[in-house]
Amino acid sequence: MSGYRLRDGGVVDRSRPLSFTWDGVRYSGLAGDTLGSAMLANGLGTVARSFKYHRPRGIMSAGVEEAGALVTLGRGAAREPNAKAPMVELVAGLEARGQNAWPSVRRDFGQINDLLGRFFAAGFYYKTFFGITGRGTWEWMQFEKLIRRAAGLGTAADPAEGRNHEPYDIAHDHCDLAVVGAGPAGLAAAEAAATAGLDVMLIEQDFALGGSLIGRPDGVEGDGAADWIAGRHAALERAGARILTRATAFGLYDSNVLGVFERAADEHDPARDPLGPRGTLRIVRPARVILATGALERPMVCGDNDRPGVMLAGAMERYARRWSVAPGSRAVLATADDSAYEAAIALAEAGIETTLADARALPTAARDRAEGAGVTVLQAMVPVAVKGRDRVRGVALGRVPGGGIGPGHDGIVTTTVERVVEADCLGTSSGWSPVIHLVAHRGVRPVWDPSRQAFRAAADAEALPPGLALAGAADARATLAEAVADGRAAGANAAAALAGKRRRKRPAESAPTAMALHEIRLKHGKLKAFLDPQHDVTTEDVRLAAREGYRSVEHMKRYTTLGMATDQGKTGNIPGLALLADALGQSIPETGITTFRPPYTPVPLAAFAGRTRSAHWSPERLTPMHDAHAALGARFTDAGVWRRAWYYPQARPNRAREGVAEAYLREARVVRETCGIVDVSTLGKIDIQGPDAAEFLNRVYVNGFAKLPVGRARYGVMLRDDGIVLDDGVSWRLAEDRYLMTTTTAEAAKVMQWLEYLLAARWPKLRVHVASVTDQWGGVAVAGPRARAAIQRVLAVGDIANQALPFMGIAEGQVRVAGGTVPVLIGRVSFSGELAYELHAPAGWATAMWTALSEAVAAEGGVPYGLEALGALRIEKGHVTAAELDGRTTLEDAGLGRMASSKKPFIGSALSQRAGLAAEGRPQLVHIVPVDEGVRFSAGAILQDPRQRDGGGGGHGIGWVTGVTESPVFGGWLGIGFVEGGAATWEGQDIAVAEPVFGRHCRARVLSAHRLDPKGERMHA
Amino acid sequence: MLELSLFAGGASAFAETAPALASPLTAEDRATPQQQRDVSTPGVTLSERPFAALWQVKAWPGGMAAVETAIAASVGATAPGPGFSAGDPAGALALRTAPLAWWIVGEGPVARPDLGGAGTLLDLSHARWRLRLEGTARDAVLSRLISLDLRPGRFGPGRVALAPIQHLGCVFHVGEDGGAGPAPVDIYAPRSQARALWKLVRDTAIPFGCQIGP
Repeated sequence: MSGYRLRDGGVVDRSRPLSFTWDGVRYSGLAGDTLGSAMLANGLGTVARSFKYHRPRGIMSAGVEEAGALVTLGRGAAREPNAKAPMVELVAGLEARGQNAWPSVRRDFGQINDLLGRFFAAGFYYKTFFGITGRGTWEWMQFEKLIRRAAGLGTAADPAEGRNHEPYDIAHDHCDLAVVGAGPAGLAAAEAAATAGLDVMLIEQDFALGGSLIGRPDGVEGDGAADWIAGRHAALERAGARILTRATAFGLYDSNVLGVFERAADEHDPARDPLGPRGTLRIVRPARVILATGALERPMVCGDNDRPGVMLAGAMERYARRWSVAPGSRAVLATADDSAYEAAIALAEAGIETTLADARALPTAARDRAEGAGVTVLQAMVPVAVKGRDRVRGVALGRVPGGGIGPGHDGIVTTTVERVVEADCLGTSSGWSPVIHLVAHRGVRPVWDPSRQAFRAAADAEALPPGLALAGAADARATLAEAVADGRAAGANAAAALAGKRRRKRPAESAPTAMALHEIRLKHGKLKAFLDPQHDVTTEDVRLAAREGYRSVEHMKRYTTLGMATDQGKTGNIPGLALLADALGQSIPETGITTFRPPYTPVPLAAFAGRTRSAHWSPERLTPMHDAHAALGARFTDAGVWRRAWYYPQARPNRAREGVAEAYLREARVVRETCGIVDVSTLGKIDIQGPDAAEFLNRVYVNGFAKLPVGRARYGVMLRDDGIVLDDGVSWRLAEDRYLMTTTTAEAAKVMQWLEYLLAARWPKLRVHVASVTDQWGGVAVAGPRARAAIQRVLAVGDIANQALPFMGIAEGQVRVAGGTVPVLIGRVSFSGELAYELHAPAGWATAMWTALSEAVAAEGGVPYGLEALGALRIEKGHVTAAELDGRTTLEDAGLGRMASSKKPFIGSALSQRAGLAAEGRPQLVHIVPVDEGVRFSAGAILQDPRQRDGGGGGHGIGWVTGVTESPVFGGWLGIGFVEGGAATWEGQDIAVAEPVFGRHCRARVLSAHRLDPKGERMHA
Repeated sequence: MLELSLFAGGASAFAETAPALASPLTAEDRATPQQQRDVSTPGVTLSERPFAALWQVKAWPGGMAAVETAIAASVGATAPGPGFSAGDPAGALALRTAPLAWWIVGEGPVARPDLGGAGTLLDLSHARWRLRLEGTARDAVLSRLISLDLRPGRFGPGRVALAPIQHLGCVFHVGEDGGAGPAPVDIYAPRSQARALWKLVRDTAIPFGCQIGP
C-alpha cells in the first residue's frame, strides 16, 4: 500500500503531531488520528498476518468491521492483543506491534501455510478429530500441540510478565432514553428527545461525535456537517444529556438493559494513571432505547481480495475526508450501486487517480458528478482479481455478461479478465447492511428486504420489543436527509411515549432498488477469494460446507467459522449467505441468517470482573479484635470470608519462631492446664423476638426450647426437611419472648436464610422477628481450669461463681477495661470440654474487653489460642463442627440421637425416620488413633474393614476421617470421623486407614469419641 | 416478666462509662491515598461517621399506627414512609428500611422507644458502621458500587434505599442538600466488613480525586 497524508483537509490537528511506534520503529501521526489512519498515512502496508494461512493483511476498513489490521498494543502485563487498528485512538507514545507472525508480519515464516492451504480448508479440525485412518482421535493427539501453537491470533500476557493491576470499573446508569450511535440519526434523535425534556444518554463508540458525517462536505439542514454536529452537541449539553464517547453498546438484554464498554481516553497512553480504570463496563437501564447504529458496507468478493491495499470503498472515503489520508496514489473502486461514487469523488478531489468500475448496465446521475471530479467510470465492469502479493499492484477487471447487472440479479458474476488497471489500492462496495446486532440480541429474527438487499431488524416497529426503536441507516434509511428526519421522529416519539402522548408518524422511506454483487468468479480457473478475512474463510469453504451436507446456515457457520467470534458477521455475513443459498439452489431468505450474539465488539474479560478482584474479590470479614490479634503476632487463616486468628507463634531463644504445629499444641496444652482465651466473634448470632419465639424454636430445633427458663442456654440441633442435620448451636433465653441463637461460623448465613424462609413462607402467622446480630457483638471464650479466676480478675459487675452461674447459665456483667467498663453478656458454655465462659461485648468495645481479659488470662498462666488449637480441643472432646455436619449426617450419626424430642414435631422429624436414615450400622462418630507410633493420617482418609477383601462398602470403605490433631490429653495422633456401626461395633478394634491419593496406608484403632471427661466434671466445675 | 435487662436501653446507655468506640479502620486506612490527581479539588470526600444509637424497629402487622407514634415521639417528626427518612440529622433520624421496619439513628444516645407490644426493638448500634460520601463526583463513585437510580428525582435529599455493594447489604441515606454539589450520602454497612468496604469505596473514588475527611 502506498498511503500518505494529504496536504490539507481532514478533521485532524496538524499542529499536534503524535509519535507512536510500530514493531519498534517510531512513526508520527496527528491528534485526531486513529492508529489505522496514522499507519496508512505512514505508508504501512502489511500490518498483520491472517489466522490460518498467514497471508499478509493491511487495513481493510475504518471501523469496528476491521478484519485485517488486528494488532497488539502495549507491552508486558498490560499488553492487549487483537486490537482493531482503525478503532484505536492515537495517543502519544502508543506502542503497537504485529502479531501471529514470526519474526515479523512483513516477513513471516508462517506464510508457508498459504502454500499448504488446500489442507487447511473448512472442517480441517473436524476431519482431524475423526482420524484419517479411522483410529479415532489418534491423529489429533499427535498434532494437537502443533496445531494449538499455530492457531489463534495474538497472545495474552504471560503470568511470568507480572500481573496487570490496572483496574476496570463497573458502573450503573439509568436514563429515560439511551440513544446508541451518534451519527446523523442518533444526534437528531438525542437532540429531539433531550429538548423535549427527557434524560438522555448518547452512546458513541468513536472518540468523536458525528459518525459518517465527520469530514463530509455535505450540508445538513442548511449547515455544514461540522457546524451541524457542533450544533447538536451544544444543544445536547444545554439539555443536560449525558454523552459517552469511546463507548460501545456491546449487548442489549431483557428489559432493554444495555451493556456498554467505555474505554478510558488514556487507555493506551504509556503515561496513564495506573490507579485509574482502563475502561468502564456500564450497565445502562433506560426506559427506552433508540438504536441509531448505522450500517456496515459489504465488500465485493473477488480473487485475492485480501491483499494489503484492498479496502471497503466507504473506508477510503473516510480516510480521505476525515483523516486526510490517501489510501494510495492510483485507486480502483468497484460498486454495484451509487454509494461508492462519493468515495470515488472524494479520492479524485484529493488528487488520486481514480477508476470506478460500476457493475450496473446503465449509468446514473452520479456518473456525471464523478466524471466531473475526474473519475474514470467504467460501466458493466467488475474486479476479477487483485494483482500483487504484499500489496496491490493492479486490478484485473472483467465485463459483466449481458451488459451489466440490473434489478433481480442474483449477485454472482462469472467472467474473464478483460483488462488490468495499474493501481495500488482497491475499494469495493456491495451495498450496506443495517447494524441490527443489538436488536437481534433481544431475540428478534431479522427479515430480508429484497429492495435493499439486506436484512432488517423487523418488518415493522410493532414487531420490536416494547420500548425499542431503530432510526436512520440502522433501519435502512438510505439517505442523509432521511436518516436525520427519521432520527428526529424517533426522538420525539420516545418523548411522546414516556409522556403518554400520541406518537408522530415516521417519515416515509424512499424506495431504493439496491443491487448487491456478492462474488465475481473467474470463468476459467480458481482464485482464493475471502468472505471473512478475519477467519480466513473463503468462498470455496462455503461451497465445501454445502457439498458436505452443512445445509443449515448455523451449521455452515460453525463448520467454516464464517462470521464467528469477534467478527460477528459484520461484513462477510451476507455474501456468505448468498453463496450458501446459491450452492443450495435457494434464496437468501430461505437460507436464513445466523444468530448475532453479544458482545458486538470484544470486551476485555477483566472489565466483567471490574474491581471484584484481588482484595476486593470478596469483602473480607474481620472480627472486632482483629488488630489486637495482629499485634500479638497472630497468623490468620480464612474461614469462609472471615479472617480468623489461626495461631499465635512465640519466639524461642536460639530457635526459630514457632510454627503452627508447635504453637497450637502449646496453646491447647495450656488451655487444659490453666486457661486460654479465643476469639469466637465469628459464631453466627441471631436475635429471635416475639410472642411466638419459643414455639418457633420448638419447631426448628429437635429438642425443646419452650420450657427453657430465662437466664439459661441450651444446646440445640436443627435438621433439614429431609432429616439430615443442618446446624447446631447454643440458644440463650434472654426473656420470655426473646432468644439469642448462636450458630456455627460456617452455617450462619444459611441458618439465617432458613429461619427467614420459614417465617415468611411456612408459618407467616407466627409473630416472630429474626435478625442477624453477628456484627453487634464481639465474643471471646475463656476456657480452662483457671477460666473463672481469670474472668473474676476483671469482672466489675456480675457473679460467675458456680452456684450463681451454673453450666449453661447466662448472665450479664461488666468488665473493667482501660478507660472504663464494658457491658457483657456471659454464657457458661464449653466447646473444649473445660470449664469455660463466653463473653460477648458490643463490637465497638470488644477490643477493650479482649485486652482486659487477655491480661487476666495471662496473669493466671494462660495464653490466647487460635483456630487450630480450638480444633484440637474439640476433637479431643468429640464435639462436631461443619466438618462432621456436612449434609450427610443424621442426629444418630453424630451421637446426638437422644436429644430428639418425642413429645413435639420438629422440622425433619418425620423424614429422619426413613429406613435409610434410621438403619442399623450407619456411620457414627468415633475417635481413630494410629496403632503404630509415629504414624499419621489426614482428614479425608478412608476407613476400611480389614476383614473384607475390598475394605467393605463395595470398595468405598466403611467410614472416613473428618479431622485430625496431635492430642495433648491423649498423646499422639488423634482422628475423629465416622465408621459404620460406630463405637458400639468397633470400639477397641483395629481398622485400616487408606489415603490412596498419597499412597499411604496404616492401621488404626477405633475408640469412643467421648472419652474426655465423659461425666462433664471439668465443664461443670 | 423475668428478663435480662442490662441491654434494655441499648449499648449507647453505657456510653458514659465505656471507653471510646473503636473504629474498624486503621490509621493507614484513613490516610489520604496516593493518587495522581491534585486533591486540592477532590471529586469526593470520604469520612467515617460514627453514631451512638441505632434501634431497629419492626412492627407487627396491625401494629403500624402504634409503632409510628413511638417513632414520631423518638425523632420528633412523622414516621417516614417507605424509602424516606425524617427527623433531625443532628439528633435522631428515622430511616424507613422495609415496609414494616425503621431504623432510628442517633448521634447521641436515644432512649428506648416504647412500642407497647406493637412491634420489636433491636439494638444494632455496634452492628453497623457508617461512612459518608460527598462531593461533586458522588454519583460517579456511587454508580460504580450500586445499581440504584441516583438521579435527583429518585434519590434526592432524605431518600433511603437498601442495596448490596458486592453482596454486602448496605443502607443508603441521602443527607440534606449541602448547596454546591449533590447532598452527602451516608452508607451503613456491617461493621465486620467495614474495612473491606472502605478500601473498595476509596479505590473506586481515587480516579475522581479522593480526599479523606475527618
